[in-house]
Amino acid sequence: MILQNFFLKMKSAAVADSWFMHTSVMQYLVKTGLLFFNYFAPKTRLCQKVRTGSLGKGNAIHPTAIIDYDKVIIGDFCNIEKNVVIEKNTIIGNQATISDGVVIGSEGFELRRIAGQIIPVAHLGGVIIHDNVHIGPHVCIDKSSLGEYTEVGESSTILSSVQVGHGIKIGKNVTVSDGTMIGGYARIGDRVKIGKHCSISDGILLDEDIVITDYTVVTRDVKRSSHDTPRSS
Amino acid sequence: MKLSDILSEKNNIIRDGIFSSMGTLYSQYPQQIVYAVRESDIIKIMANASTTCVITTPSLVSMIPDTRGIVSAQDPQSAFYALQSALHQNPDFVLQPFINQISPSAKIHQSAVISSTSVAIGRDVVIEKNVIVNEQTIIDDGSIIRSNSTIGNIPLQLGAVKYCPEILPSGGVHLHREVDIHANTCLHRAIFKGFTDIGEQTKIDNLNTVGSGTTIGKRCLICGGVSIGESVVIGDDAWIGPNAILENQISIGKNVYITIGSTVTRDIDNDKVVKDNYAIDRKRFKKVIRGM
Repeated sequence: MILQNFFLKMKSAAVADSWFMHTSVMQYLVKTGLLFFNYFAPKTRLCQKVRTGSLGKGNAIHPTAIIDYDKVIIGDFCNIEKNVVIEKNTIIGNQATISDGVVIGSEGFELRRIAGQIIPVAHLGGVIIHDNVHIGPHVCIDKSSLGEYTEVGESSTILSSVQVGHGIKIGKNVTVSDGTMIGGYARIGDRVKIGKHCSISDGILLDEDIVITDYTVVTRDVKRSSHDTPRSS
Repeated sequence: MKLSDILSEKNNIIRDGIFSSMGTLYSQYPQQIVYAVRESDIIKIMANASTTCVITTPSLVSMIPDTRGIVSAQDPQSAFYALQSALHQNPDFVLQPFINQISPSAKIHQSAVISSTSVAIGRDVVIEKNVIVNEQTIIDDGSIIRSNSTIGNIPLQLGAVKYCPEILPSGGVHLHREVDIHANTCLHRAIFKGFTDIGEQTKIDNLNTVGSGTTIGKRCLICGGVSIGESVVIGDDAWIGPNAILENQISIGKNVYITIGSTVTRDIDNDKVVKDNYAIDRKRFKKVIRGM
């Protein structure tokens, strides 16, 4: 937890844009530090690991789905369709539906531009998909870059071509419509509804019961004021 | 090749010229022939030294400089694509097929589909599950292509479908060193002889589409859901935010920052920050807002 806070602080714009981060000595130090981290962190306890995979009963899995069965836990009565790719360190609950062409647990898009080079950050986490989740076709769910899980809460629905970035926490009963892009480390509360083709910036907090209409670009936290009445449904 | 050699209707040729490749307003193929529809296209033709011949409407003929060969046509776009399909048999205008050159150190998953001809894959390339690599694709050392991506599919040119329903692409895709292509991304083949070109160390996130003939510079970061049009030129060190849309045939300078959800419809100079729908310079945008 302390480590995670440290990383989030380092990522904040105030630190990243300050003058001492742009000096050549500091750039060199950050670059070597990052390369050191990328090399050693996957071998340490920071890395989330599903040691032994398991497969529950009553699952309907299409033969073209590619699943790393040794390091994936799948619950009961799941429906996994054609050309689905499920990478290691993924945990799927009961009665989940995963449609065609979905990629779960792929590498996230976290990169650092240091000293005229682009260096990727090693991703150590995994993905948890809770019970009764429906995931539409061609959705991408990335694994978290820190040693924790990207989560999709109970009874949530994600429609087609949605990107769920690394380290996102989606609450219960959430609906995310087609073509929406959600940036890294966003936290989405329970019963939120997100319209089609929205873009949600990284690190955003959406409170419970919020509705976001189609084509919205969200770049600031959305908090529910005390005057709002909760939705009846 | 001379214009008078290839075109049957001689009276359409206003001034004869030599061309050896086909291209668009921004492309840099040697001695290329292009089409121009608007007055703003003429300025781009004058700036581009490699353009030698132009197909244009009768009203724009007088504006074209003396050094270029001119063909007049009522509909320049349809004439251009008719010429493209006519020249598809000519070996000078099509990339030649070659025997597959796949390095033994490349890690290719068994479910990936690699074309049987004209694919070159370099050292330490990683190709993950269900990836499709079509012909005329060159992948340099150290690149990574993640699951369910498609490299080099035939583009659907909406403008051209009206006139010639079967597009015959004569180009390919070239990924340079250490390029990352994430899941569910499509890279279209170039229509003319040449490549859809992705520069060194460029990283492209999930669910992207890169149009045919697009050139992306070195060390660019392109986030998820971006759709890039055809024949776009993007400079080095650009950053393109999630869900951005880039219009066909525009050029974007070096070190440009395009924010989340922008729609870019015109050219952008170097070192600019643009945002919002019909993206304009951020400073100019603030000035307009203050003036209201």
